[in-house]
Amino acid sequence: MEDILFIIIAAIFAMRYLLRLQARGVFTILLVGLIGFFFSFTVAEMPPFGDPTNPVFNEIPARYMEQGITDTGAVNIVSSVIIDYRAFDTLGEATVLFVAIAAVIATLKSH
Amino acid sequence: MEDQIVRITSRLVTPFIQVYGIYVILHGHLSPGGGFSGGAIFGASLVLVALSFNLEVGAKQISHTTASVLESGGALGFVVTGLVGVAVGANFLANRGAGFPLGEAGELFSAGAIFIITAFLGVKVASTIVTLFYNIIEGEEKSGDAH
Amino acid sequence: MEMLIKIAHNYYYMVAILLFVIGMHTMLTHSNLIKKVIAMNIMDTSVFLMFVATGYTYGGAAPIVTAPANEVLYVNPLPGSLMLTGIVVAVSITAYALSLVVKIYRYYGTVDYDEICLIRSRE
Repeated sequence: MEDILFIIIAAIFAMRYLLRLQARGVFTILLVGLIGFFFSFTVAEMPPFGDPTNPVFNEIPARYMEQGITDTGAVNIVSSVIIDYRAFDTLGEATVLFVAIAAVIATLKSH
Repeated sequence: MEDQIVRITSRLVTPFIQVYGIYVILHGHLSPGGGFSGGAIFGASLVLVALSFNLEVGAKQISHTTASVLESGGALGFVVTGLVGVAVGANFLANRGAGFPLGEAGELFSAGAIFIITAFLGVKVASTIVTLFYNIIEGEEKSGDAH
Repeated sequence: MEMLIKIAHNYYYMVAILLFVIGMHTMLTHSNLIKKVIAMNIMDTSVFLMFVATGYTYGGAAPIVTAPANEVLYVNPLPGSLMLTGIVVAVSITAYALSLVVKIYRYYGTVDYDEICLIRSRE
């Protein structure tokens, strides 16, 4: 009963919102809703959430979890991944931050 | 801003935020966190000072030249720590292969290059946040005065 | 109906898509440039949520190894560490976009896109 009441109230608010919109706003909502609709097909095809047998859990994370401490000596596996196994990636991140500062100064401090 | 409550609260809270940021940076290999999150916390404390007082007081905490030197120095320290591996004969950014002492897992001073690089990254990210904040909030006023 | 059940099982990914759609709608309809930057951040966050959610396991512990890996079930550390790169890039892009907005405000005196179009059409 409460669910139906909630749906009715939500529908009333949604109708009031839609009626106040211009034709362009309705078109935008339809377009964005279409994009979300097609994305939801992908969600239905994805492997179940939270299952330890997902394809994400392949041999690479298993290797990190088993050999991480003996390889790097760090207890935090995320830290050992970003700073030891994939440290070149992190060097790229530092470069990205550097370039961001350079871009901001070039934009704001130039004439 | 001339709000007494905001000023006193930020003055009380700032040291704790900074100590927490340093803690997160130094325990990056033991607990959740690391150079990026700890540096962001530390930089946010400096931004908080500048926002609750004014920009001059904030610039007294860390000057613009210091921030830019620290920012470049952090990136340089990262690269130099990586080049130690090349000098020894291992790969670039090698940890155990470059002969860094790994120590006992779970201790504070362990994990060799990870500890050093996390500290450098924390310094770099904190100074990056401060530099970005000052550059954006000052806008073009300084260059307008200069020429 | 079968598809709806599958979506209901994967509701974490649906929240990510909802955030993406909200950000896209804000980006398309609002003419304030700061709001556009915020909408871009919301879309970034939705992508991060999507990736990090793929690494979750029910009952998994945080990937800080205190016991051998075959005894305790851990969360996948790889998506979280890969998304750190994305977060840094998002911060950089936000800073650059905000600096462009500051420049636009100095030049036109407004951050509203429609008003900027009006000013440009008069010139």
